[in-house]
Amino acid sequence: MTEEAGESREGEEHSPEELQPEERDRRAREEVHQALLAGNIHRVHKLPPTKEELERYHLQQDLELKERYGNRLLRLVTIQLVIADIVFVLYFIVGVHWDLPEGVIYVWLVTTLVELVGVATVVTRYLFPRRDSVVSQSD
Amino acid sequence: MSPLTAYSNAEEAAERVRKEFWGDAVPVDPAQVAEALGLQVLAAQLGPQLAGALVKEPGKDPQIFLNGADSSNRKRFTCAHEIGHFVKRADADSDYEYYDFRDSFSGTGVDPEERYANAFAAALLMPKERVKQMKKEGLKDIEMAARLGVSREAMIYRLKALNLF
Repeated sequence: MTEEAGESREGEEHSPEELQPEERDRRAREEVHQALLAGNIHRVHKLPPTKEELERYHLQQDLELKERYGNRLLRLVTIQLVIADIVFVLYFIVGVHWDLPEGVIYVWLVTTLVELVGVATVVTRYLFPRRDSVVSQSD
Repeated sequence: MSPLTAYSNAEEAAERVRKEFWGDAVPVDPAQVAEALGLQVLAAQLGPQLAGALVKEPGKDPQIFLNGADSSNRKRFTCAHEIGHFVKRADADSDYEYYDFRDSFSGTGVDPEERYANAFAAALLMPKERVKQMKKEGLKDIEMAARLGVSREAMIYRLKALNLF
């Protein structure tokens, strides 16, 4: 939990771990006395917990959920694309012998494209909404 | 036995202090526990490296100083940590002072006083039985941390210490 090194009063850069315990305590004592003298101090009667951990947890849950959905959608889209490509290539190579009504392959490709655009729209608009739209909603 | 009697076992000391000065409810408010013990709790504008202090001056009540810039949960742990120092020294007549830096709370320190204070703080804010009960209910570490008003790191450390992680 060590944080970045603080600046000593003499202007030298020392992290407290680098100092001798006596020197470290002396500086800490001085710091407390300075705060007392400056009046930068107030009595604390209660220390209720904040919700920050819970909020962080909810945010984390939200991110995990989005990640899970995002990954699944990406996998589905990939599979869909691979299938669409295989069908397209098969149609190109051997499709001439297939007994398909005219336009089926066009519909197949168009629906694949529409589906991809649809998935991309859902992902970008709902899983990752724009910040300004979130702000305006909260207003 | 008086709850203010110095204990060698931090877990037992925290348990007794909590029962005597707070009760069974969670989250435990360490500031109220400190006040009940006769300590003054003060938030001060301190440097980033200093997390808190416990100072006992001649003729004065012991004072706990917390870093005003810290988050509430951080202050809660620091306050409980200082109470741990106080309880350990409760029977001592002499004046004393403890200054706790960020690394004091790392849990890896070798200073027995700091280890005691950390163990005390953990046991005070995260009562063993309550933690076990939450674990049995299937709560995640972060949910337990939120209910007990501690950081997730502190919660995980406590769970490990209780062999529940």
